[in-house]
Amino acid sequence: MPMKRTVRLTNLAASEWMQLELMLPLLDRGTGRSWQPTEEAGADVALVDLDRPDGPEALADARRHDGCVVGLTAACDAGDVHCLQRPLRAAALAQLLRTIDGSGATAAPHEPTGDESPIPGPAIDTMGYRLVRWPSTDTMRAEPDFLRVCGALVRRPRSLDAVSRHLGLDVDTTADRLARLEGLGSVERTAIPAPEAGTPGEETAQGLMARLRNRLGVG
Amino acid sequence: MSETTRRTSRTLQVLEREFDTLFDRVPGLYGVLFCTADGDPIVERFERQMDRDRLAAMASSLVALGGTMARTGGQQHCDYMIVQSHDGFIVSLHIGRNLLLSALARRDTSLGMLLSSCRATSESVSARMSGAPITPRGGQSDEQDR
Amino acid sequence: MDRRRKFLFTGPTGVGKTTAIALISDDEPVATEMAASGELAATKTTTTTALDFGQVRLEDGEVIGLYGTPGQQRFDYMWTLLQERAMGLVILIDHSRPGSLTDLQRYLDGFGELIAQTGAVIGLTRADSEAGPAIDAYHECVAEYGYMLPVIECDIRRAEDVRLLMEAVISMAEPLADDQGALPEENES
Repeated sequence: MPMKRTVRLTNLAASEWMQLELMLPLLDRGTGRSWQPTEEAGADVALVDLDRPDGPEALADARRHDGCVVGLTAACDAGDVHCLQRPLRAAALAQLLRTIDGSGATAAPHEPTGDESPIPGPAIDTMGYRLVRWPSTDTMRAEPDFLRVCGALVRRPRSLDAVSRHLGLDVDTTADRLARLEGLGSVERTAIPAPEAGTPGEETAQGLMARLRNRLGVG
Repeated sequence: MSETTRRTSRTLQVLEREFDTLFDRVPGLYGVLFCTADGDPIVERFERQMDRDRLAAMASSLVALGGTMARTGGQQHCDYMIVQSHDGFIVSLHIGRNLLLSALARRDTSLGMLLSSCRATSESVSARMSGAPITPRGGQSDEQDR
Repeated sequence: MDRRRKFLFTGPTGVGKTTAIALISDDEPVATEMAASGELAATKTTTTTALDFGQVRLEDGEVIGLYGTPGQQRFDYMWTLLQERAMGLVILIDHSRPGSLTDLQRYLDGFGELIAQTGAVIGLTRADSEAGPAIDAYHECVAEYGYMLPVIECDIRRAEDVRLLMEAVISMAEPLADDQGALPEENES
């Protein structure tokens, strides 16, 4: 039975919060541990968004209450805490947690050694959603966003962020639509490969469809 | 035999006689097809194997498109649709509102002769058959005979 | 070279393709109607034998074509011609018609190449008829082809319903537009 470890998600944005909530339990096989997301202080590991204005405050709080602190940042360095660089990648997170776990959960800066073996287990880069079935006509009439969300997923699964960018909806609204579609059994969560930077498939929807949508007065 | 069936059979006999006349008048003719305006074949005479079903449907599309194109171009009526290929001609035209005639001829055929003969056949059939009900062979709708 | 994009409407004779296009087209649609014959003549006087054509003009002047196909399978060469460069397909099925699932299969077969590329939306007319199969039967039919397509019950005489179908087909085309270059291009031949 895997040993349970907790990861406290502190001041993260909603989209990253959701990604991590979904991602962490799937890292079990890779780390040999069961990583449970939590909001409560006193966790084995705390994840702090260093790029947010409240980063320093959250960092200080995590240092006081949690076993080990990981700074999430777009920069290459997180100072004296472990660094998890944006964009979030499950493989990088798994590797970092494994390193922390193997080092006795001490708050030491993460320095890649170069000899860390690849993480075994599923090649999961991020979490996403896939379309299981289209909603009923009544549901689609009542919630035009559902059509667009399902349309975004019809050819392949996409991450929350990708769906959000594709539809031009904010992340919270997109997360709400996805959660409701999940409740209806129309979408389900799935692991998807992380897109390469600049992959056309993750760009915003092209203007042609938006213009046609506007012209017809739909959506 | 019902009245409708007798009249329809007589119609087919009329059309067969029209074939004879048309083949006599147009050297180089190798196929004639009568079909409904919406592309169901009624009767044909081909000197070689051809797909009458597709030819009938295509004649319907072409004549419909020709009429629409004529109106769009400010013209009143499409008399003929003429396909001129390397090997010959295919002419399609209305017979009244409900029927189409298509004639297939070799390259050495006089197009003028072909057009005038087809027109004469169309007028003859229209005159002789006015009021007679025309149904596709077998009398079934398209959706059922596929 | 004509780069015009288009959406396609197909379905059996009398299901409402011409009506649907007329409801959203900016101009009076071009129709190619011929006198109906046989059993069809009992329900309608004319039928489309080549194509219906309407268009929607966008603010920047780009024109999106709306094409309707003839319904009967004997015109399937028109299906082949019309689906070139189509960005999406609406399949209208009369739920009250006997053999409505067979109708659906006919168009899934006839437009398989396009559907594999762009997907399609199934518009179910007269869906309140008790004569037709359960709605799930249409989903299952589509799934047998390996597709996952929306099935939308609609009254094709209502512009609002036609717009819902267009919303669905646009939603399916959007990911294609995102995947740059994935939109069907004009056949150069």
